Amino acid sequence: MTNSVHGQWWDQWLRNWQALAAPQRPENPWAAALDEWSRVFSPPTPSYADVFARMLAQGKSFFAFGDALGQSFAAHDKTPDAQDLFLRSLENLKQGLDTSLWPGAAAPAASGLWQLPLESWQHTASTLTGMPMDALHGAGGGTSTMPWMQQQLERTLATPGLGYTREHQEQLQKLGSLIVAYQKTFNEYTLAYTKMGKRSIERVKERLNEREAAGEAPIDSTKALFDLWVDCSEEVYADFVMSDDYVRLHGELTNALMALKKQQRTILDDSLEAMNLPTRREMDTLLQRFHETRRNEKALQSEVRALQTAQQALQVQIAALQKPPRARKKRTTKAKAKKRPT
Amino acid sequence: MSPVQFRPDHVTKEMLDYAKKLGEGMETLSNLGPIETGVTPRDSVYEEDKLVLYRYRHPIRKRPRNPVPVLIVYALVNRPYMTDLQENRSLVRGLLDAGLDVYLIDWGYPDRADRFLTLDDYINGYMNRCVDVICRQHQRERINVLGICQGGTFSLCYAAIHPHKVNNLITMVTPIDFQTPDNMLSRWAQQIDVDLAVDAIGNVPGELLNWTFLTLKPFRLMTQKYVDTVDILRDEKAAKNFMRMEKWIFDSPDQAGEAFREFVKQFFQQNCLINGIARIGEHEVKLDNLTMPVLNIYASEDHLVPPAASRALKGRTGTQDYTELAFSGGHIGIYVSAKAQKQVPPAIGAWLDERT
Repeated sequence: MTNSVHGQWWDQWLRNWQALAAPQRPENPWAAALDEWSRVFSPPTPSYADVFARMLAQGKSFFAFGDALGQSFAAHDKTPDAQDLFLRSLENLKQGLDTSLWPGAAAPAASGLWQLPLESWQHTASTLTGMPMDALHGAGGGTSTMPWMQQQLERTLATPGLGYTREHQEQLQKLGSLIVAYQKTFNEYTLAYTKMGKRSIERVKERLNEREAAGEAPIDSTKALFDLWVDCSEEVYADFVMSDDYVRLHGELTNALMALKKQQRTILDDSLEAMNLPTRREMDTLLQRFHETRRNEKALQSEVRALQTAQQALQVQIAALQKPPRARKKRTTKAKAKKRPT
Repeated sequence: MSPVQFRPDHVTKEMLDYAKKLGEGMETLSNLGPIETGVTPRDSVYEEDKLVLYRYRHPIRKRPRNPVPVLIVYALVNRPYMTDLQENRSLVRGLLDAGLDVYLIDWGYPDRADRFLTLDDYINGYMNRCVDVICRQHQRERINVLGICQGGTFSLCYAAIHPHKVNNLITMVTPIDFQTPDNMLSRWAQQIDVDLAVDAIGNVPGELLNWTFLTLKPFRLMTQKYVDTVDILRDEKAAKNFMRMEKWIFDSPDQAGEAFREFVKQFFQQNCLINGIARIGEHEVKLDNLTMPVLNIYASEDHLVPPAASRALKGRTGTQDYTELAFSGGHIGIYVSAKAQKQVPPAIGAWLDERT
């Protein structure tokens, strides 16, 4: 496959798209086309597939800007005041952030920039717990429409355990409570990101006003605008994540995840024990004992080496002392004779 | 004049150009072949558990000018091939060219069997035995130690505990004061219950650390970087350079649980090093014990280890011979930028020559 094939594919896609009447055009044509293109053309060799997937995902964020701008212009063909249109797009995006960062929400494509750190966290959390964390968002109250679900869940989890399996029930209830606690914290975290996202849009507006006031050259490319948004997002983010509020939230989120993970492990260990299989607890005990033994062994090796060195030095001294006094005397005399000035 | 001036046809063209470049980039990546890192020939001279001590070979007909070997101690959190990424971006190569005899500790990839390794095991165990091996090989009592980032903190501790074994100490982008106001990582670590974390997960996964490092600048490192990359991917050489760096960034070993617990508590949360209360195993770490010459190199635009965190070493050691070197660049640029190749290794070589 040659480079020109990619180029031809995109040229053809553009022609097809332009031939469509406006109502028939998809909502985010460029991002959709990128999906289609990546399906048509195989990804590179597996070792680079990850990198390419990252490039593709971020290409979509970038295309979302193009789509947002394109839609604005399409809707206002007769009043092409770019700044007005752009500011309107930003306002829409800002309103969209209220819902778009929540897991599973239908997000405006351009909010992907602020979704990414959250998605990365969810992925990491899912890997750590082996649970699909994005699927559990309702457990912590989710969006404002779901507090009833959380209350119901909390009531259920507070029901006392009964009978023969009481302890097991309690363990599971504790796990459920920890899931709810984690999701509550994650929701708070998401809310913080929503606020940061909105603040970054405000910052973009401020920057544009500053540029206008300073008489700087206008921004005339999607890439330049994208870079400006990245700059503003980083500034807003850097301010917030150094605040006490964020430090507390970050700690709570991490601690909630770890508490959940620990409880998972406890339950799993109990099940393994019931099946007469080795548990993590037992493995850790053995590893710790083994580690202590190795430390002692290495310390002993080190002592032996030091003793051997000392012994060798002593042997040299002893050998010197064991030589007949005459030989020693003779050598001493010779040495003195050598030193004597001639 | 309006600060934004878009024309729909320009936006369309820009999108189309980007899409085509992405296609070309995919083509380049498909033909790139394996990415090699760690380019300078080297020999393993000591192995213990997952640790390997390497000695780098000198370029043909170039014997080391400086008779005192230098041991590079890298961080646990990333792989040490960052110091020898490619031929024209190699701290190791630069040090060899400066006439030094270079050794490096590769800590390896800890697994569950290493969960109970402590800082004492790393510093007074592994590291100390590596120093002993080099001392025996060269029939010397002391060698030069060059610690990088977290490896720099290890080296400071080592040199303070075993000053009789360190001739000269060099620290690169090394945190000493872990609680300077601009230290984002440290701020985030303050509320983490590290006991709970280690008890829950044992070793700390590299993926979790990656997430942490990337979220220091999430929009640049997770998004903008990849959008910008399409512009360079047509060039195979540039693509390879990019891929090498990408490989390194995501090649993060898991962290042995106990060592991680100790490091976060003692250094990030309690700032023990600068407060004079750090302990490694049974040994107190007193910076006053650093009586050997010290060269402290920091990067003025370091977002991971702020310059103030490194410069805090000044005036806190027992040495009469303290030198600072500021490199104008970032935490990674100090190893891999073209500017760094010209400035950093020659400066280290000259500084050591003056003290040998």
